[in-house]
Amino acid sequence: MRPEYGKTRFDLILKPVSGKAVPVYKGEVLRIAQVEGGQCVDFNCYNLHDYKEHMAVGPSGGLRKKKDDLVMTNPARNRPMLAILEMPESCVTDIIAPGCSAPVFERRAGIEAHTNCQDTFSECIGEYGLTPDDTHNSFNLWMNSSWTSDGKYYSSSDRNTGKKGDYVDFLALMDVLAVPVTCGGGDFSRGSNYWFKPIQIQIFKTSDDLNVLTNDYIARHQPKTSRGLEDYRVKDIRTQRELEALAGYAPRFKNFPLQISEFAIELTDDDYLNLQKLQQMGLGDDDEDGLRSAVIEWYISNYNTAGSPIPR
Amino acid sequence: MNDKTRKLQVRFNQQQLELLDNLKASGKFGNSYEEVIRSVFRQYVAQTIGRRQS
Repeated sequence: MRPEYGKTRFDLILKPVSGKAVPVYKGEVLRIAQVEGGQCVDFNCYNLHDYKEHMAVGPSGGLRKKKDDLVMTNPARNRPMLAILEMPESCVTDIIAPGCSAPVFERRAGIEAHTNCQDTFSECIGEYGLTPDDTHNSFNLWMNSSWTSDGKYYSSSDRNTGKKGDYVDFLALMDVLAVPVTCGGGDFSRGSNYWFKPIQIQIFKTSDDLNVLTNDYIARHQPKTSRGLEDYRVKDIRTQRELEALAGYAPRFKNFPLQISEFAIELTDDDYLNLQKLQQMGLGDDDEDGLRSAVIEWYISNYNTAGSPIPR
Repeated sequence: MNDKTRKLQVRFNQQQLELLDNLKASGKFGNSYEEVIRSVFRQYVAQTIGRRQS
């Protein structure tokens, strides 16, 4: 059942080639909506209380983000940041493209003064004292890119399918600074169907339903192994830009050096024949590799994180 | 069933052994690492080669 949202506390029409950095508090909903349709939206997002923790755009759960997916923060934080409560089928997402920047248009069309998402992001986050270096890879909404199994990527290969009134709702699972921008490259591509359009940004206050949902998401997806600066020896964020090695520093890698145990496993001829078959299927380059791979692969496929069998 | 046997050496690191410890503790796959490894290998074979042949 769809949760009931609180009242609208923020409502802004983003004109073409602009954006806005806006705080969204834990339990609130950020809505990004098509006003006319066919406009690509680029999106950055930061922990409001620690800008070094930001959205990590990566293929966790798939190469296209969908309704009910989570957006996590960057390693080593790895915390749930946003939950996608609503996302229409027309909103094809691209989490591969980094966001367009000036050199794209210099290369494509020889134009140096073209609008682009990197510059728009930088102008938006400047309001909070962040620099262009603080932008991160973009979560691209309504960007219909494609790729092939052999790794070829085609940015905005298909026309933008966003319709007037379509919207995406993000539930904030922590206090964030959200930075949606109207993509500045779509007048030269199918990204926005060769014409810039406005986008609407709304923020809905939290509610009893949203509070329950937020706590539930966090309880289910907050990893115990999330790490911050307090978990490492170097805790001060470097302000000196020139890099030089810290005197006396030696890394302390986890579980290093690895402890290796060796076992002699008695296999029947039938077992061994099967091991050869597995290697022919691509599992392992030699007998030991094949046997070890089979054992670990079976465990990972059949047991859950609590060390219990996964119900079939 | 062919009863001839041969021994293969296989190495695991301590992180992988944690997984085998879980299986050993369950009591379903044998009492020693060697028994667990062989038993799980056969489970894997049944799930992969067995499925392909069925």
